[in-house]
Amino acid sequence: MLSLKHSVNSRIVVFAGLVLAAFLSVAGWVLDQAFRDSASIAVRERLTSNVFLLLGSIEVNAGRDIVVSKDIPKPEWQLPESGHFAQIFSETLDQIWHSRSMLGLDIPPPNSGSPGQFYFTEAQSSTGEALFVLSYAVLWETGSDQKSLKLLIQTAENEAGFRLQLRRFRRSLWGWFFAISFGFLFVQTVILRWGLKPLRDIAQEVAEIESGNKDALSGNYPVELNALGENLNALIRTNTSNIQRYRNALGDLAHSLKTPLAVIKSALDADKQSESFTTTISDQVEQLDKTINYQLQRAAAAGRPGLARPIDVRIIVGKIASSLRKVYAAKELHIEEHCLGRLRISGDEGDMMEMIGNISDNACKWARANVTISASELKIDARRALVIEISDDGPGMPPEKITDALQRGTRLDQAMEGQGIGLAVVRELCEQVYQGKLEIDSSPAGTNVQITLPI
Amino acid sequence: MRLLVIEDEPTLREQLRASLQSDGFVVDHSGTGVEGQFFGEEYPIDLAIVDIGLPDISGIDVIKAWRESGVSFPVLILTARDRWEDKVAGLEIGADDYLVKPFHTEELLARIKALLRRAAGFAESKLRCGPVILDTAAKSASVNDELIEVTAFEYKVLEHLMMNTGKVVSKHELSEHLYEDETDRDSNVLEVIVGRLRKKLDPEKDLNPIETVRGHGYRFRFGRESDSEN
Repeated sequence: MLSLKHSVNSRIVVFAGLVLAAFLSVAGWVLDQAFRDSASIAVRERLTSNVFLLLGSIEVNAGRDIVVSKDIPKPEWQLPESGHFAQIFSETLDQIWHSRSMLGLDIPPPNSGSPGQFYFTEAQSSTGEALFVLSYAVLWETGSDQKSLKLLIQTAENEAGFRLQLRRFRRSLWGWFFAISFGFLFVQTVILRWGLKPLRDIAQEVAEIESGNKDALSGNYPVELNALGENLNALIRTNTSNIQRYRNALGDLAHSLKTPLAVIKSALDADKQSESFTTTISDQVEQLDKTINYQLQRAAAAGRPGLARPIDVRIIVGKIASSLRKVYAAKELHIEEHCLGRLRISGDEGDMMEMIGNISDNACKWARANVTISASELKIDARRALVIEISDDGPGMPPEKITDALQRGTRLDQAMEGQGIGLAVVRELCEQVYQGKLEIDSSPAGTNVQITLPI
Repeated sequence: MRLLVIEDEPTLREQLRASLQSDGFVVDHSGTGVEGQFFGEEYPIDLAIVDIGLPDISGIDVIKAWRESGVSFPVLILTARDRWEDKVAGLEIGADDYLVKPFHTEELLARIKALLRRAAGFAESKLRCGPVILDTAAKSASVNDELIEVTAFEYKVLEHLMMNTGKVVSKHELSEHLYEDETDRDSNVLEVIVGRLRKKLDPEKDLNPIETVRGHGYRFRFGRESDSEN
């Protein structure tokens, strides 16, 4: 039932199959009945003509005895076990005559019916043979005394022939029905496969977009799907441009909020007021700045966009490393990159840069001489994951700072006294937006930060 | 040292100009990207401070245009957004360092001096050329480990010569980097200053640190010694 739920193809085939089976069953039953009726009418007609055949062979002599001609033109009546029988009863139901084929066989006499009427029944012979029986009562006018003689004539036929005919008919009927059903279902499957091909093409193209081999759908679809294809393309376009647009808006907001802060800070630096005044304003400016940074960075997180090509982490690591080499040129740090594997992840380039950049920047800030940024792919519980590891040879982080940084739900304004917001932003991006894991391992010999992200 | 500040916020621009000037820099400034780009291409600028969020064209575009036309002085970007995407974009296009708003003036000055030294090929805050050492943090000079008294203007001249050690620096170039207005420029004053510097640096007249290249200008004679070579 699983495939039924998930495949349009099998849904249609299964339901069409059920409808077809129901239709053919009804049609088969009707045809069967019709055939049976016409076959039994044929039997009845044969028996009727036999009755007349027999009547033609009867003579009643002067002593009111019944004489049946020896050479009735019906050879089956002469042969035992031929399956065709005839007998004549008197009014008192005494058997007057029977065909030779009835040797050692009894067929129950008919109930005396009204003369001139045919009674068609089914009966069993004394040996258990199933028979069609036709009974006919006749008033025989004898020439001499004008008294009529009542005779009961019975012709019978073995049902075997009828059954055989019926069986043959049924076999060929159902044989054809099965052949037609299979043919029909096969043709239908072919039509469906062909008819649904555009849908499969779209699915294939979407997969190619997500794996980064294509930028948009080709748009070469039947009219019914054209709108879908165009909408998907529009979605892909707006997906990226929307993120870019609101990031630009956030950038403008940051600019208009931060420039006044810069003015205030610069004014405080230039014109020393009383120390407490300067400290108060300066602390508040710092706090405002952090809040703005933190909230803007949270708002700018894009997460994993659907219908987008995966991003190459190798390139991002390269860009961050070369940026940091520039910024920390005076420190003459040795910044190393190690990238292993395919390193593609469905995500946003900005988010990735934010995570790798913040951690690497921290590492460079504290490192004595060496910083290593490495990225690799791992399989964790059958799921592929991207592991980014950034290590430095700095003095290490105090344990309480690590706990603060890693604790879920620590709010910026509570925990970040004298600390950058970098780690908090990375933790949130990593854990909340990308369902990943952030681990920090620090000793006086250096700090190692590991970001694990499901691909 | 002549700096260019491109910042659209007038108050911040004025504050930057004032604090940079009080630290001994010559400052050109502009409130728009187009004008700033023109200044950078036309004036003998030693370093530019560029705000990314300019009203006309973005700071990124200004830096890109400079780098494409071969302008190579160090550039420090000021950005309101603490996003790596923006920083990387700026640094990739040719900026040398960034500072996120709001910033401390001291931090800005330290970054500027580090960039200027790096551009001149000095790794640390002390410029060492043979027996002459110039401490850019303390703004002092010493010869053979003996501190010598220099005035602020003498310091500027010596700093410029030492930043360009080995190269011939014309009097015109010196005056361009040391004076804001053309009307202030007077080559006679420069000659007097160089003469005084020679006396202070080389009282025994055996070192001759500042050579005169006749018809061209001055040249600082001792090559730079970077930390790593010591």
